[in-house]
Amino acid sequence: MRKWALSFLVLFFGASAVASNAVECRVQEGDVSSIFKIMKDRKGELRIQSGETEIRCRLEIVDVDDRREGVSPAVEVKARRFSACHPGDAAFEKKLTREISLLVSDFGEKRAYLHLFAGKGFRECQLKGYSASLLGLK
Amino acid sequence: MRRELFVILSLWMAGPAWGTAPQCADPQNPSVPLCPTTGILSEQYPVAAVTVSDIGGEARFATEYLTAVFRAQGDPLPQAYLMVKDENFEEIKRRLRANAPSPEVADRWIRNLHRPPGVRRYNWQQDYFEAFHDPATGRPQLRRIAQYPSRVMPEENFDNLVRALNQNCGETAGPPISHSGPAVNGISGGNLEAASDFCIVGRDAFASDDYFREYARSVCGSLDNLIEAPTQFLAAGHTDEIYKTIPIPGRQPPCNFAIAIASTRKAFELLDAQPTAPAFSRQPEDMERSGTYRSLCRAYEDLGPQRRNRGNGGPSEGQSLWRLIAPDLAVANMVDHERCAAGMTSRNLADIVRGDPNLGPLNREIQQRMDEFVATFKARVARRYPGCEPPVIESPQLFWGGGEFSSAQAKSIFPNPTNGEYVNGQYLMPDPVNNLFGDAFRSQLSGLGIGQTVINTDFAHRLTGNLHCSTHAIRYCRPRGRTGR
Repeated sequence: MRKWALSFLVLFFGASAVASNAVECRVQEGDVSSIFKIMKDRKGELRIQSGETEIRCRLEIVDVDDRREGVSPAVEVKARRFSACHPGDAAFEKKLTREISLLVSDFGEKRAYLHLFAGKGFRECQLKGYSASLLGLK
Repeated sequence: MRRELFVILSLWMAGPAWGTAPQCADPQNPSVPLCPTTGILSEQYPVAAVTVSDIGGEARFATEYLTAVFRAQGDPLPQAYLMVKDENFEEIKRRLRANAPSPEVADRWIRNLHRPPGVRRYNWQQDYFEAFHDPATGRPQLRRIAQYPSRVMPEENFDNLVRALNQNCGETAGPPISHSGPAVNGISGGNLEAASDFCIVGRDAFASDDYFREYARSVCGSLDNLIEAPTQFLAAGHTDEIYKTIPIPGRQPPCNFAIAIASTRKAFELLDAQPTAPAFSRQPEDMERSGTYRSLCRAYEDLGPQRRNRGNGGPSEGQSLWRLIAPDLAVANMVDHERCAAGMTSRNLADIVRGDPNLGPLNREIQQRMDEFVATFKARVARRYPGCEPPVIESPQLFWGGGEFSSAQAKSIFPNPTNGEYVNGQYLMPDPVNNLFGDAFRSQLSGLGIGQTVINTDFAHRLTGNLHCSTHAIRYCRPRGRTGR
């Protein structure tokens, strides 16, 4: 009985966390996985994983540009690093663009693109949990 | 007998033209240039009709656009199809009457206004169809963009628009434009341009070269007519963001046009030559609602007081309390757009764009790609029309986006002058909100004998479009194989 209850709690809380509390977009390039997450209250997180190494950076959402009437790129979210990444890595932080951008386009079908690194362009990312209300949009 | 009378009476009441038949464009008039070998018509041809809506720019934009079109081409006066709400239709008529040079002219202008039933108000008039011509008659033939998102522009809206045009002046629908690849921004009408017998299609983000060629073939007929425009770096991906065919008055087709092309080199030259000039000639409408302006203004804040005031001779700024308490939050929430628009200089703007590891290299590469495009374009033109060397009009523009050309998702920082419309010797252009950029572009047009009408398009620029994107000029030509009347 206790095992059943524990499974229920894990499933329930796990599912609701994914369902309602974050918009997430993931890019996989070679063995490097980058996950950009937007949470409530204009907070965000960037997680870069490469093999055993993982760097996490706290972000602040500085801008949400809503151009849904424009058909083409509909919503663009921009974030800046709120503090040093963990573990601290000055060389890595220098590579990040000043404003990380997530662009959600709904021309034809919904697609998302992420711009993380200075001098590199946008990369298509796998979007999960997209919620206009979480982004502060009507 | 009574029933027949009723039918005739109903038709008379429903028919928009009976009694006040619109004066339609006459493709057989010898002054009309001969049709090109491609279907799509460039700005080298006269305008039969225009379309515009009020959903973005309200009555103000529609009126300014229509006034400029009617003033530029009074004979034959283009038909105007307005997708507007009732009160704006009345407002547009009132404003047109005020703008017309005489009451008689005002009557003519207003007589040519039509509101096609069953066509929704929609800003991007350029994009859901493209205007071609019927080679047998020279009359406009409209082709629907088959993959244009139906949730924003259902197919029947296009059918209803063509029906209205057909009832008035005999325009028809041609086969839809399509390809078998996924829909991308580049399928839109704004990405399809023309110059004489050439057809210009932007490469955008078409899923493959094969898909791009398939689409271009659907637009251009033969790929021999295709000139590929480097639009991959743009968020909207449309040729009209960077290019415009501008006819030169007094010259004969096919070699009577100039190539207007986005130039970041020209933009930097102008900024460097007048470093203390204001970057903004005025504060754009709804500036705080434009993502690009907001990014630019945050970058301006990032320069800090010393760099912002470098060489300006002005008083130094103090640090705001917000910046001292919470610098990151200050950047996020406390951008002062009024101060940004009033205080930013040419030097500040150049520093921001050149100094950014994304924007600096991107804007340099854009210039290289534009140079290559112009070189290819000129070579193709010279090969087809020996001795023809179209002049180049540099349109000063800077772009904001990611740092890699093929995936930069970039937007023009200021309204882009190439995104305008040419009507009979007059170029209708967006106000670029930067005097240096605007004056430089206009002086090149004046040098070629082309007049200018500057229109505020801030609403469209905020939504990643502009004047050309928000309107559609439907043109006609004189069919080949006929000698005229």
